[in-house]
Amino acid sequence: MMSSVFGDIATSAIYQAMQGLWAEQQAAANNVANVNTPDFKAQDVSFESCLSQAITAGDPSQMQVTTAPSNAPADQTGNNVDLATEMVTSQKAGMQFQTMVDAMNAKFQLLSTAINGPSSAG
Amino acid sequence: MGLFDPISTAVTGVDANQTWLNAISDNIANMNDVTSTSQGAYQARFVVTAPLAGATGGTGPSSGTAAGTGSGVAVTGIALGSPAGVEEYDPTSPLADKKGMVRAADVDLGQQMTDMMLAQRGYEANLATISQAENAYQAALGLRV
Repeated sequence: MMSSVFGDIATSAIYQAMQGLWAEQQAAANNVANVNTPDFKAQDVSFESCLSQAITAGDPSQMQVTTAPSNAPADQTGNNVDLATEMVTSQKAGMQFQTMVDAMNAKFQLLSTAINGPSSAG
Repeated sequence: MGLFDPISTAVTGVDANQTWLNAISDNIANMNDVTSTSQGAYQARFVVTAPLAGATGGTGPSSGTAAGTGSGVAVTGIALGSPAGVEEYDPTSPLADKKGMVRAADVDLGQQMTDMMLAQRGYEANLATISQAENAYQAALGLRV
């Protein structure tokens, strides 16, 4: 359990979520790069439920990013990448990442206010 | 986890599709090649690709990528079509043999055009990934205290 000012659960949870979203972005990039590779199986990244459990347990850094092959039906070349799904995943991960950055900024703003006082917090 | 992983992954996809487009344009450029029957015909180029290390799935970290998400695609070689081509009857050709036959390239234009569309869409999809990842980087650069 962390209790320092800069390593509280919120900051750590946001950081872990960014890690997970990054892996999701990377997996989507890899799936798109292999959209025409025969016998390639798309990969799905999941971290949300694990992060949720880790936050409940009090230490978000326990989160594990899990990568698993997709069960989507394959085409005649043995490839099961769905371009539309990958584009949505990539877009969604990007927007969630942006939200996490905003949340981190809000957190820093609070700290800045606590350190400098409301007048210079801008 | 490398800093620019998604972008370098997408770049491997752009490169692979570029190679495919090169092969297709070569095939189309040579589709009307004719040789004498004693020689081999133009052999169509087929690009062979395979996922890069760590792309085969499973859980846990692998070769330098986040949790085994793979690091893109690689062109592993160029396969060549049959040198037999198709024999055509063209007695007026200076290359024709005693029976009036010549050997023409066996390039299926319909197949090449279909492949070209696939390669083009694949190219565009990878560029879209780059632009998505770029947006995420831009957001991360906006982090400030």
